[in-house]
Amino acid sequence: MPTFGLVLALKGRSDEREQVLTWLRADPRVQLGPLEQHRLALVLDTQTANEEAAFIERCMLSGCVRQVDIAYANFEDLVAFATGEETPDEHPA
Amino acid sequence: MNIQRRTFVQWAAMAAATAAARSSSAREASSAGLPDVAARPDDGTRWDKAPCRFCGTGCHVQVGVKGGKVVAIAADQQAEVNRGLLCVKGYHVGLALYGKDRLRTPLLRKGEKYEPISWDKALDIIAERVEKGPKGFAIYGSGQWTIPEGYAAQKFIKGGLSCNHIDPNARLCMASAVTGFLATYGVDEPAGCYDDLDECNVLILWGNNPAEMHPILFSRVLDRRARGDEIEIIDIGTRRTRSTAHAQHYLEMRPQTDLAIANGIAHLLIESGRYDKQFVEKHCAFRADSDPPSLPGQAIDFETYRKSLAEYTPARVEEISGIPQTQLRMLADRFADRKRRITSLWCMGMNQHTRGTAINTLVHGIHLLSGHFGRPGDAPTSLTGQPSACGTAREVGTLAHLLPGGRLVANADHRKQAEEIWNLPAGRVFDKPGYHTVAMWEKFCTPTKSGGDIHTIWVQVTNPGQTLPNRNKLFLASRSESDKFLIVSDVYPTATTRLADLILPSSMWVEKNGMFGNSERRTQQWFKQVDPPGDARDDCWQIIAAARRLYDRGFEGMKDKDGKFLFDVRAEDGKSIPVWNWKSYYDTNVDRHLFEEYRQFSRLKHKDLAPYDEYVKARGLRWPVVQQPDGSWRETRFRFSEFDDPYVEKGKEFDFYHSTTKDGRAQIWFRPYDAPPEMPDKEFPLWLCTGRVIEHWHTGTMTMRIEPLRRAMPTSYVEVHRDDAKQLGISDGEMVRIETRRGMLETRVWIDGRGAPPRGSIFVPFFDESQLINDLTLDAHDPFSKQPDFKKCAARIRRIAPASDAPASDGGQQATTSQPERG
Repeated sequence: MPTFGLVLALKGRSDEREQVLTWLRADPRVQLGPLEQHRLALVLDTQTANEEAAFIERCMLSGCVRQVDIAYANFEDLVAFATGEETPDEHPA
Repeated sequence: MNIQRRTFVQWAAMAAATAAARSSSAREASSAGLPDVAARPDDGTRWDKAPCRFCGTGCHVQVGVKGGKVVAIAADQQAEVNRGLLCVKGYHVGLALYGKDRLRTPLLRKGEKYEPISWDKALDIIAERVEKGPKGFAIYGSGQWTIPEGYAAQKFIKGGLSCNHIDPNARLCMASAVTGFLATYGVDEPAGCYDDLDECNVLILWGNNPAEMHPILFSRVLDRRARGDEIEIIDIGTRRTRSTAHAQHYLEMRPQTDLAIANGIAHLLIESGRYDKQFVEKHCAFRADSDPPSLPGQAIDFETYRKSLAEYTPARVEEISGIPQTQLRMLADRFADRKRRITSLWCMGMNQHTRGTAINTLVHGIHLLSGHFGRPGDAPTSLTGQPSACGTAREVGTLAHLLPGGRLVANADHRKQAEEIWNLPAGRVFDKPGYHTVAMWEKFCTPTKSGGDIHTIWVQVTNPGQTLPNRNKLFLASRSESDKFLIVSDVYPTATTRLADLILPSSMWVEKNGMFGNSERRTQQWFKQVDPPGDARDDCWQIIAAARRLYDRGFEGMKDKDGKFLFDVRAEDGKSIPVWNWKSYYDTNVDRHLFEEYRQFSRLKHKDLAPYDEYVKARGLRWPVVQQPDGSWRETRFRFSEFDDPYVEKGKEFDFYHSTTKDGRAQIWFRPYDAPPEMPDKEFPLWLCTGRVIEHWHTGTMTMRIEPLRRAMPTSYVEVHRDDAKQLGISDGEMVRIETRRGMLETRVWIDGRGAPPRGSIFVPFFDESQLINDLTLDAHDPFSKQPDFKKCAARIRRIAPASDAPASDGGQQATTSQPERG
């Protein structure tokens, strides 16, 4: 399922930001990358299509994320499904 | 995906995100030393650049191809436009290729069914329709044509059929911006560019919602704010949107009254003596409508201009527009302050307007009058909705009155230039403009015996069955005329293909070579990266193959004056390459051949383009692109300004070198406010506005097939103000019937949703082909641009079922459209 490289633009006080970071660290789908000034790079590895939308919405509702931008999306599993070409390792005989 | 592969993909995702976070923080695209997603170790994925397929922003993506399929998308770190970021549509763009119902073979209507046919037969049918009467054959395209595709279609119609009946759906989208630029500067397209967004202190949104429609550009502004830059956003609109949430000032105006607001600002600037007198005296002239009205209008002096504005006092403007006097004075104060840099942005709100040309010229006029022009950050800038509305529709000139490079079919010298470049006999290019969009479809829907002299329309890369206004009158009526024939090239079944006589399957995006031109004059190039499905073929090939079929059948128009084929392509050894045969089409780069020919036109009006290979190297270049003494090619960011535009003479500071008055001056127009052609009344008491949503691109033919986007916004809806809903006894989620004098639609109510229309106003997006709002919209159009007004007409709504009976919100909604009930 899709894997995303996301950039979160953070806002708010440092203690508020820390709450978001704590929540993100606890999410097994998330790998945190470097924080460049107010911009945090992370990887979101989803299990189902459309999962990233709920993740982004949760980020926005946290009150400490000004914006979520997408830098990378790999959807080769979805393409395989769409074109009827699932790969053997996903569906072992 | 196995674990090793997944780990690798995660690494790639982190590299791209890290690079994007750094490059954005550094305020610039791409820097040496940053991780580059395209440069990581080989995992069998091949990466190459392409501009995004969707809107006119012109973001570049890196396309990852594996096993002959697009499997990944990364924002391009080297792209100045998007600086390593993408919007929700952009990162899904690769999935647009893989809807399950791609068209794969030509289909011919037989009664109520379609029969697969060969390309050979399809080309014969097209040739026969041309031979039936070339003057009645039209092509309807769009700003989704690549530049070479549009150029080929343009040459086919104007050089081959000598009839000029070619127009793009860009007519529905940005034609008023074109006439606004022409009337003001004598030449089309913005003087500034996206760099203005990095420099402005004030951003004014004129009926514009970039947070949803051009999110990457808007995020560029918000990111500045996050870094501590002081940037004030002023939103002037008829409905609160996601953009409003980021604005310091929201000015809610009554529909159509933007003209009064613009005149009110100009009035205040002049009466207080705070306009830029030096700039105006040196670089501007004044203009007003002529009688009869014409695009150039008539000259007036400053005193006449001042007196014309006199009635637009703050009190009068408040009375017309509903904007409080304090807010109008605030706007005037901003323009009076020369220390600030002001960028105005607009898109459909000002263009889809029966006074579209007028309001475009007025906004340019405020910037000129106040001197907020030509410095980085000081710019009046229109945005486009399609990826090549500028590059193809405007620059190639696929409009009924234009030739490539801003030339006019009505001008004998311009026709002669085209005939020379195309090597045509003198007189081949017809001297009368063809039918613009509304006229073309009106003629197609009118019985032949009643003067409907368009018998065939060939549609490429657009969906008029969903986008034409007043659809019953301008589209459906043709389908009951037995001698009218509709040919449609597309990638998916659409509201247009479903009523076509002949359907041609097309390649899309990176299934073909291409070039786009974005909203800031940036010309972009990409190469074919995957094969199209089945028998789908490039639109450009379709045009060339149809031309060749006509040539082979002896049609004189497809020969140049030496008897050679109009689209003759030669190899370096001088041998003709049979590019009309699909198997030979990619034996050469047809795009390069066509672009190099087209490029000759670009130099005729200072829109110079570089050689094709320069675009292969770059992430786009903004014209005019001029060769430097060292042989390199330099783009232009700010036109008409001495510090950057190579065509401005040293010492002039500014030079509007295509001035309509031929004296280097730009025109400041007076245009009065006029009431809209249809307003709410007792029978239809509400304003209806239509538009777009962030998840879907235009008619949704691509994005509704991308599962995550479809799920995020599965159906259309109507936004209703809470108090109106209460008064009408309507609940959130309930099905209602919307009616206008032209049609009706049943859809679901959304109260306190994404947008917030004021009382007395409703909003419906147009992406959903199961709910065709264009059955209801007005076909009244601007007298100069011929662009219809999709933004306002009179409507009413009625409840049809209690909320408890309504189906679930994510599917199963049965929407209907038809003629309205009267009374």
